[in-house]
Formats: sequence, C-alpha cells, structure tokens
Amino acid sequence: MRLQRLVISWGALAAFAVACTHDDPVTTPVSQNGEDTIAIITLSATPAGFLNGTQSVTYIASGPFDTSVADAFARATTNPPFLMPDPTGCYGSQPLIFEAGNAPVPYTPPNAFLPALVSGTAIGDAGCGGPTTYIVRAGHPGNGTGNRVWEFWHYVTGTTDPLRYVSGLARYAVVQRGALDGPDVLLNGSVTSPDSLVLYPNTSVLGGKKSDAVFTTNCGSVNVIQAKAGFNPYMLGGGASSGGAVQMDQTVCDTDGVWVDGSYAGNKSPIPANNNTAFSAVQYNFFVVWEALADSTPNYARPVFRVQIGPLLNASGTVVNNSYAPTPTTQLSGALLGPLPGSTSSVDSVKATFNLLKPLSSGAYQVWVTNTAGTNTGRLTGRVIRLSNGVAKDTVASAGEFNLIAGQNGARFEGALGTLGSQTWNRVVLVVQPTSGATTIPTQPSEPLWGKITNPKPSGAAAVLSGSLKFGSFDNGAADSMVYGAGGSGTGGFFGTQLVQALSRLSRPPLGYQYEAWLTNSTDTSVHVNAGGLNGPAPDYVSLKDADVMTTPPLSGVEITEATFATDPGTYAAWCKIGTIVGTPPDTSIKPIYDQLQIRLGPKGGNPAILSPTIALSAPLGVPMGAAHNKGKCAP
Amino acid sequence: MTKHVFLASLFALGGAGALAGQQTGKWRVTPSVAMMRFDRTTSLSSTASGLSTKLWPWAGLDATYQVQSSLQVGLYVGGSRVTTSPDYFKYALFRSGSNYELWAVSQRVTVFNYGIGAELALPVGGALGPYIKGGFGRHTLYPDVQKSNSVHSFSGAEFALGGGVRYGLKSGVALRLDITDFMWSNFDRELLDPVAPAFQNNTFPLSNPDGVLWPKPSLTHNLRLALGFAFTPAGGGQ
Repeated sequence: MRLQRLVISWGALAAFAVACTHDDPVTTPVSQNGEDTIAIITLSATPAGFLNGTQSVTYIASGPFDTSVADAFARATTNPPFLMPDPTGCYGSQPLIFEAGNAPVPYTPPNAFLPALVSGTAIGDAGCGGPTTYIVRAGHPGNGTGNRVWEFWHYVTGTTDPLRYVSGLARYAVVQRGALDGPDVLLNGSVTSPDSLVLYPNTSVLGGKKSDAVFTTNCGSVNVIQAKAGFNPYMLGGGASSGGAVQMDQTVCDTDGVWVDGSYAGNKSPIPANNNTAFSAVQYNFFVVWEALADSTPNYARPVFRVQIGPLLNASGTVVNNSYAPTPTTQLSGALLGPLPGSTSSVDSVKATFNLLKPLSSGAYQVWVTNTAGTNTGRLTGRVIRLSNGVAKDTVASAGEFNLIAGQNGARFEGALGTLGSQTWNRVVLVVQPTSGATTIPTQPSEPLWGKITNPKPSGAAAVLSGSLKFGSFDNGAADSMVYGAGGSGTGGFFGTQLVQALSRLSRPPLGYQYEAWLTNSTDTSVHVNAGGLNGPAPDYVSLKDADVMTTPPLSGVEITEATFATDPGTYAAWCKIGTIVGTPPDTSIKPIYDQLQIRLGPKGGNPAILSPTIALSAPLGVPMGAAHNKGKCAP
Repeated sequence: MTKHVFLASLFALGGAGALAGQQTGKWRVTPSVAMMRFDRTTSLSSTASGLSTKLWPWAGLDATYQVQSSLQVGLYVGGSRVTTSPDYFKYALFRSGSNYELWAVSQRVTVFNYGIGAELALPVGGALGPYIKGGFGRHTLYPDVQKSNSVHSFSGAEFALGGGVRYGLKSGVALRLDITDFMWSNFDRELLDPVAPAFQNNTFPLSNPDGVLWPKPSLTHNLRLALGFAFTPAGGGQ
C-alpha cells in the first residue's frame, strides 16, 4: 500500500505541475530575405488609356423620298441664305447677305417660278470686283460704326436704255402646280409645272420709295427711306437704265425702331428666318428688280432680277414646307439624298478610327459589320491608314485586316459595304482575330471596339452620320455584351525581394484581353517592363490569363473577386531600379528607373514587350525596404 | 484551463485512491505518465516530415473491471497542455503606419480525452503479460481564453487502439508500458487558429507556411507512449 500511495502521490504532483505550467504563446515576427517590414503599396483604380474611336457612315438613297416630312431636304436654317463675308472685301469680314454667293460676274439668278424673269439681264460688277448684290444690315461696320441704315445695293446689267427699273422687297405666296418647284428640282433636276408667285396679301400696298435710289447713312437725309411696317412690296428706289445697266444703292434708316434688329432673320429684321417661323409684318421673302411702269410702280409681270431670301408662304400666309431659300437649281445625287430626313436610305460606306491599339505578336485586327442580333456578320475590306498618336504613318490599300508595328497605336479604316450592302448592318466592330487571315468570327470573339449605325434609315428620321465607339466586349451583341470599366483595388508591397499584390473585385477583362502588371516610369513613358500576369488566390493560384472567359472562381459575373500578383527577382540588386533610395542624407547617387506599379489591359496576342495602353489600377512604388537596406549592392 | 487540468488530475487520482481502498479484487487502476505525438495535420505537432519529433507530456488514468480472467473493461481519461504550431495557420498581418508586418502566432491548448475501453490479456506465461486494448470516447480541446477571446471548447469522437506489456512487481501491483493510437474523427485544426479571419494574411499568401495547405484527413492518428503503474486493490490479480 505504501508503494501505491507513493505512486499516486507522485502522479498527483506531476499532474499538478503540468496543470500549473504557464507561458505565453509564441508570437514571432516573420521575415523574408532578412526583412520583416513591408512598405505598403496600394493599388487603386486609375482608368486611363482606354481604347477608343469614332465611326462615321455615308448613306445612299434606297427608297422613295417622302416630301411630307418636315424639312425633308434639311434646308431650313435660322439665318437667311447667302449670309457670308463679302468675298470682294469691300465690306470687311463681317457677314452680310451676298445674294450671288460665290458666283462670278456676271451672275444670273435661277429663273424659277412665274412670272419668269425677263431674259438678258444679269448682275454686274459696280466696282468691288464681284457681282454687286448686297443686303447689309444696320450697324454693319462696313457702313461705318454706329450707323442705323440697312443698305440694298444691286447693279443690273443687260437692261434696256432708257427704261426705268425699280427694286424692292416682296412677300410672295406660292401658287403650287403639281409638285412644289424646289423639291421637284432637287429630286428630278427640272420643274414639271412651274409654280407662280403672288403677293401676300394679294393687294399691293407699296411702301418705301419709287424714286432713284441714293446711298446715304444720314438718317436725316431726304434720300433715305424710313423703315415702316405693313407694306408689300417695300420699294427700295430705282433708276433709269444707262449704258445697258442700272445701279440701285438705297439705304433704309431704322429711325422708328421698325427694323431694329442688328442681326439678320430676327423678328424685326426685314429678312425672315429661313425656317417655319411665321413672318412678321416687316418681313419679305424675295428681293426683286422689276421694269417700272410709267408711274414708277413695278411691272409685276416683268421682273428682271429675283432672289429668294426666305421661305415661301401659302395662300394663308403660312410657311410652306420644303420651300426654303435659296431656290434649288440642281438635282441631288443618291449620296446627297441619302442622309436627308425625307430619304429612305442605307449605309453605303464606313469610316472608323481606332485609337490606343497595341501591335500584335500573333493574329490581326479586322473590321466587321454585324446586324442587331449578331447573327449576320460581314468583313469589310478597305483602306487602312495606320496611326501613331493620331498621326498617319502609312497606308494599306484594300486591306481585309491589319496589324501595327512598334511605334504605331491606332488605325483609320475606310471601306465601302459593296456587295455586303444587301444585308442590314447595324454595328461596325473591330475584331482582334487570334489568327491572321481568319474569315469567320470565332465564338466569344475579341471585339473590343464597336459602334452603332442606323441602317436602313427610314424617312422622317434624322441620319446619324457619326458616333463614338464603345470599349469592352461586344460579343456580336450577345447578352454578355458589356462596356468595360476599370474597377478594383489592391494592396501589398515588397516583402524581401518579393513584390506582391492582393487584388480584389477587378472588372472582368474584355474578351480577348488580359491583365498585365507593369513597372513604369511616371515621367518617361518609354521606360517600362512587363512584370507578368495575374493569378487567382491561394492555394491554387490559377492563371487569370483567360479571365475574360472563365466561369469558375475567382470569376463571378463581371468581376474577378480575388487575384494575386507576385514577382520575385531573387536579389536585392534587381530592386535598385525601383524607388528612391533614401537615407540621411538622401543617397541620390542611385537613380530609380521604375516608380509605378500598374495593372494594365492588353490583348492576349499583344507584343509582350510593348507597353499595353489601357491602365486599370496603379500605385506609386515607393521605396523597397530591402533595396534601401541593401543599397550597397546597387551600382550608381 | 490550468484549473481544469488540475481538478481533473486530482479527481482522477483521487478516484484511483478511492477505488484502491474500496474494491476487492475486480478493479484495477492505472495512473500513467506518457508522451503524446499528435498527428502532423492537427497543428499540435511539427511540420517535420516523417514522424514528428514534437512530443508532449501526457497524464492518464485507466480504471478497468475484470469481467473474465483475460478481459477487462473500464474507463479512461487523459489530458495535457500543449502549444499549437504556427506552421499550420496563415500569419497574422498587422498594419503599422505605412508598413505591414507578419507575425507567427501560437497558443496554449488544454487537451482531454476520455472514453470507455476494453483490454484483452494475451495468454503468455511469466512476469511479462502482453495485452491489446481498444475503446472509444471523445476528445475535447480548450483554446487559450485570452487568445481566442472566449471560453469556448470543441470536441469530437475518438477511437483508441493499442497494446502493451505488463510487468508484475508483486501481488496486485504492476508496471505497464503501452502504446495507443487515439484516432480523432473529423478534427478541424482551423478551430485552433489563434488569428481572427480579419487579421489573417491573405495579402502575401506565398509567404504563409506550407502547413496551411496540408490536408485535413477524416481520421487523425495521435500516438501515445505511456508508462503506468497498475495496481489491483486487495491483490485481486496482476
């Protein structure tokens, strides 16, 4: 029993000793390559350098033209026609109404409408070096600072001596026969049944003056006309033909504030807006020179010069659709009709500019068009102008695809739909083909840039001739089509010789694109090095090269939920190129080369040595602790 | 935890004393001291390859009842205080100003096992009496209260299988040396991780210990080598 008690006693004592042992749990700093402190590097979203571009299209008429569409020919304007700086320079550079446009001397206006113009007359040069057809608003500096006079100056040649001629502003309504003359000319090139012009209101109440025109800027002169409302036509003086010509240069003073607007086409301007705005009582749509009757009133049946300066009115005084000035003279081609509101048309050709592309090591860039559903696709062939920061470098004619060389980062493509035009295309798409010469678009294609085109354009709709391209995954317009936006964050640092980042919630890269880590220099864009790709989180570290198409974690929907980046050159000497080696005093003998860590997007087939342009995340590198502590290994 | 072990030990040994004084020939009591080598995946061992050299002292007590001349059944209980290895867990990642620091953290853990068992003496003559044993019960671990910031514990099923030899010293008294494999079912070492998830190092995963990636078998084998002092009250057998 003594032995038993002895054993029990010692056993109890041993248990007591074990139970009472106490020491603090071990807490040990972890080091790597002799360093146990990690300077934090925080990556944040800094979206920049996204692929971008523009597209434009031309339309060609492919169906009936609908003249019932408001302003079907897109000819309405706020300002009157012929508003331009005097091409002769007589009146300086401020715009005035120069009815001859850019026509040379002698200028003959279109002989449209009835009554027809008396043949044989034209506009000659009264001294300025061009056709003398001027309407100059009050206050125009060409007539002196502070003047309050409108000037109407015309020089008509081919007149009959000593016949007297008078000029004036007329407000005409149109008596339509068949198609309106203007649209008839635009669509067919000729008038089938000419329309007639009649004064509106149809009772002539002359205003202004019938006597000889005289130019003066003195509003107190008896020779100046005082502007009044309610007259039609508003006579602007006349003159007798001498030497086969008559010159009429008359001023109208706005003493009573009737023609008060200092601008053209305003409500109180004698010149109406060239659109559907209702006329005021002082506005007229034609300037006319007539042969004068014996009492110096106009012989309305014998106009010798007539220029439309505003839209036509109907019998009720309402502006007639598609009757805008100037009077049309030539037929529009299918290409010119194509984009007009009244036209039913189809896209004829495509131009597209693609910026911030990267030269490919394999594969090629191609330009395709697709329909809305993405079920029909067609590859375009055309001219390719390769660009370097927007500057043309070279041109490839009739190219079905292209690639870039070092130093180039964009391309402009110009191609006609040609035989593809029989299809209904609605998107223009840049395709990054994995193999050169591909004639089909693969499943889940890399289509980083695309733009919408309206095709066909129905009548009544405005043509959209250009637009910007979107950057992301088009995937032929499938449900997963998405515009790319940079997102996510990262944290990490230099741990020993290892540079590590743990990233979260990165945006899924566009199809055909991958994330790459680059060490760059913030001031010298030519300095950079590709530090490798991203991987998934521990423990598998699955490669994220195919994150654009992966469906398993760490991919979740449009995000890479977790990712890692790590690179380890193994020696501190390699880090001498990073950050500024500091100390007391700062050691400036060692110059850093790379001062930024950036996560960029690049095409999978991109040249790995050429910096990818698209930045998703970036961070300043700071100073690697190990490099600072081992600067002796750095060469100055 | 120290209090638990202390009380359990006193209870076990006190119980042994009581049995020694009250039973008459059928009961045998075996207090023992032992060395425990935990399974390499439990985090209570080391990450060294092969048999781990990390051994922990262990105290145990068996109380068996002789139902036949060669068969005994009874209860067993044991326990120890061990320290987890940091080599199985992600390091703690702390931010200090503009720097990160990684720390390896371990904690003291109190381990108990208990259950019922049977022992079969093999028919070999002489002073040495070999036997085999088996049993089942549970294991319970108490993490460090301060480290885990709680008083929680966790338990699981346990199966025991082993054998040894008994050497009789005199009537009713013997020395026993046995080795036992205490097999823990579905043991999850993550429950012993002293670092809260928010502070676990996921930023520098490549720097975490390799043991983080070690598998978690459904059955872990924890080997105990025990030296016991068996006595049978009133000389009821050896």
